Amino acid sequence: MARHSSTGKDGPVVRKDHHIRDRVHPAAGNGTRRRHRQDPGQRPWAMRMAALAWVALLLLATAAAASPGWQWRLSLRPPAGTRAMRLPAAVFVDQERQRYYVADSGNGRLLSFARDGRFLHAFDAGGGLGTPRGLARLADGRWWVLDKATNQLLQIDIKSRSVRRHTVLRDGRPVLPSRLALHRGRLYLLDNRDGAVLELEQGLEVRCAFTPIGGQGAIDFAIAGSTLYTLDRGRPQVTAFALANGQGRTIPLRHPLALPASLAVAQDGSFLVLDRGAGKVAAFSPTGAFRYQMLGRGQGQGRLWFPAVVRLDPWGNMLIVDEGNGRVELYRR
Amino acid sequence: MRMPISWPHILALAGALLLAAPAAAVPATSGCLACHDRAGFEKRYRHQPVARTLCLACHLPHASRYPGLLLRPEPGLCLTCHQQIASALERRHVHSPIRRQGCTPCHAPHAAPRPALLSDRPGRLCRGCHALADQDGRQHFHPPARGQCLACHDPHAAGDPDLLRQTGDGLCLSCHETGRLRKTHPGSGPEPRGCLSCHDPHASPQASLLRRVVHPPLAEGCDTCHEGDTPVPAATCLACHEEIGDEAGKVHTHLTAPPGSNACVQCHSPHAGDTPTMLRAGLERVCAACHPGIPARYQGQESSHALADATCTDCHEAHGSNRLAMLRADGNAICSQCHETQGTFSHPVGEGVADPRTGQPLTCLTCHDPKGSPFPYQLLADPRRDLCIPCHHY
Repeated sequence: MARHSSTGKDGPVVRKDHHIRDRVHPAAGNGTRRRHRQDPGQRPWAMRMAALAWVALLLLATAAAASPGWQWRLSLRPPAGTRAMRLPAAVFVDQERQRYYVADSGNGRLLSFARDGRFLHAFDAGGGLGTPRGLARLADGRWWVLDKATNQLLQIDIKSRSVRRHTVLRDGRPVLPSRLALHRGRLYLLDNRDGAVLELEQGLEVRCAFTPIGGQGAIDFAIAGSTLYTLDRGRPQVTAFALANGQGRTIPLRHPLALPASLAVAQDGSFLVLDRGAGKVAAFSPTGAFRYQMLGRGQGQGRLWFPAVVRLDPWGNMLIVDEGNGRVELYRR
Repeated sequence: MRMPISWPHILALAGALLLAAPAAAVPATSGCLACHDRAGFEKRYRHQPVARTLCLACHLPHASRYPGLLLRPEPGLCLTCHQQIASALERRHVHSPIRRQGCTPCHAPHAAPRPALLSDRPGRLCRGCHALADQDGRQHFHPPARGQCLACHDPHAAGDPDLLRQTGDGLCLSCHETGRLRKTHPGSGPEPRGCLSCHDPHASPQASLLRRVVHPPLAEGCDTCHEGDTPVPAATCLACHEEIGDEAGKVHTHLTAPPGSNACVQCHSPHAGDTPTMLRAGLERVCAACHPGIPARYQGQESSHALADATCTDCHEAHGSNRLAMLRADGNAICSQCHETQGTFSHPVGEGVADPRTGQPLTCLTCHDPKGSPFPYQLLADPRRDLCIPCHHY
C-alpha cells in the first residue's frame, strides 16, 4: 500500500494511507484531516497495561466458565517400561487405606495405586480374574470383582489366596452385571439385561430392583447418602431412588449428550455426567440444569478417548477411567 | 440553518428517483425475457411470481452469491412465501432433498405441466430416488405404491423417519378394516398390531405382501415363541440363537434393552424381514436409532467414510466385542482389510509401537478418525503440523 507523509498544521507528521483515510471522521471539515486512531507508539503505557489486564481477565473468566476450577493432577498408570493398562474399566477408592484400585480388564488384573498416584501392585489371581470390569473391597479385606467374561461375581480373599465364583440369579435367569458398588456393606449390581440396579442380600439373592422410570434402563449408578441415582442410557435423565422405600423421581438433564456413560454425584447433590461419545464431562445442578462441560476427545493430557467411568473421591478429586487411553486421570479443583 | 435549494440539487434528486424506480415497480419481463426463452415460463401451471412477471421477487438482476442469481439460497427463499411449508419443516424428520438442495429437486421453480409445479408425476418423481417398487422381481404391489406415495408419506417432513403421515398401525388401519383383519389374523387380539413387522408396505414377491424372509418359527405358529400376551424375552430368542448368547460375555455388548423389553427386537423384526438378518430397517438407520450423533459426525465433513460404501458392521460387531468401540478387529487389522497398501507400508503401528502420550499401541485410529474429519484423509488434525507434534516434540 502506498504511503505518503505530510506535515499537518497542528502536529507532527501525519501518515496518510487508504486504511486511515477510510476512517476519517466526516466532521473534520477545516481542510486538516484529523486522525481517528492514535499511533500505538504514543499510547501511554498505563493504558496498554490496563487493556492487557482486561484481556487477561476475560481469558480467565472464559476458562473458568469452561471448566470451573478442575485441573489435571496426575494419571494412574503402571510405570513406563511395564505392561500398560488395556481397557481399564473401573476404579475403587479405598478411603481407609488411601488407595486407588483399578480394574485393568484387558490384561485381566487389578492394579493398586497410592493416593499420590504411585504404582503399588498388580494382582491377577494367577490368571483367574477373567475380564474384571468392576471391583469393591469389603471392610474385612475381601474383594468382590465382576468378571464380564463369565458374567459372574468373584469373591477374592487375598490372604487365603482363594477365588470363589458366584452367578447371581434374577427371576431364575443369570444376571448380566456391568457395574458393581458397595454401600453400607451391601452389594449393588447393574443388570445390563434391562438396566435395573439390583440390591443384593448377603447370600447374593436379589433383595430389590431399582428400575429407571420411563427410560431405556440405566447405564451407570451412584449412591450418595440414602439415595441411589441411575443414569439413563438412552435419554439425558437421572432417576433418584430413596434406598429405604424405592420411591423414584426423574431429573431431566437439560443439555444434549452424545452417549452418556457414567454418573458421579457430588456432596451438594450436583451431577457429573461422563459423555463417552463426546469425550467430555458435563456438570449439572441437583435439578438437572446444565452448568458447564469440560475436556474433549483425544489422546493428550486432558483429553479422553472412549472414557468409561467418572467418580469422585473423598479427597475432592474427580477420577475418569479412560478406556481408550489406558489410564485413569485425576483432576482436582 | 437554511439549506439553499439549487437546480443541481433538484436534478440530482430526479436522477436518483429515475435510477431507483425500475427495481421497485417496473415489471422485469422486458429485460429478462429478452434473453431468457419465454417458452420455459409458459406451461400450464405457473409460479405466481412468474405469472406476474416479478422475476426480481426471486432473482437479483446483476450479481448474487448464490447460483441462478437467487436472492437467497433454497429452501429459505421459497419459504419466505410458502410459510405453511416452513412450519411443516419444523418437524423432526425433513425429506433429505430439502435439507441438501432445497425445493427444486421436486418442484419446477417457474412453470410445470402439473399442479404444485411438480417436475414429474408424483410416483415417478419419487422413484427417481426411491427405486424400490419395481425391482427384484416383486410381483405383488400395494395399490398406493403404484404412484400414490403421498397417500402414506408426507413429501416434506414428518415426525416419523419414513415420513409417514401417521405412525404405527393407524395408517394401515385407516384403509384396512379391523373386522376383516381379525379373520385373517386369528389370535391377534381385538386389533391387529405391528403390520410392518410381517408385511412390506410397497411390494413383495409373496402374496399378502409378506416380507421376503419369514422367521421359520412363525410358520409353525405364534405359540412357538409367544405364551399368551406376555412379551417374548430375549432368552426365547437365544434358546435357538445360542451363539449370540455368548456375546453377553463380551466387554461391550448390545444385548441390552429397556426394562420389560427384548434386546433382540430392538434391531431385528421377530416375524419377517427383507434381509436374512431381518433387521427392522436399513442397517445405518437401525444403528442411528441409538447412536444418533454418529451420522452427524461424518455428514458434511471434508473427508468421510460415508463417501465410500462402508456400513457400520464392516468395522463394528453388531452384538458384542472385547475391543474398544465394539470393533471387529484391532484398529490396524480392521482398516487394512480395505486399505491394503497402508496395512503394509505406513507409519510404524502395532503392538510394538506405543503412543508416547498413553502407552497404548499405535493404530490407524491414533491419527485418523474413520467417521470423518475436517482434514484430508480423515486425519484428526492438520497434517502439516498439529498431527505430528503431540508425539514428535522438536
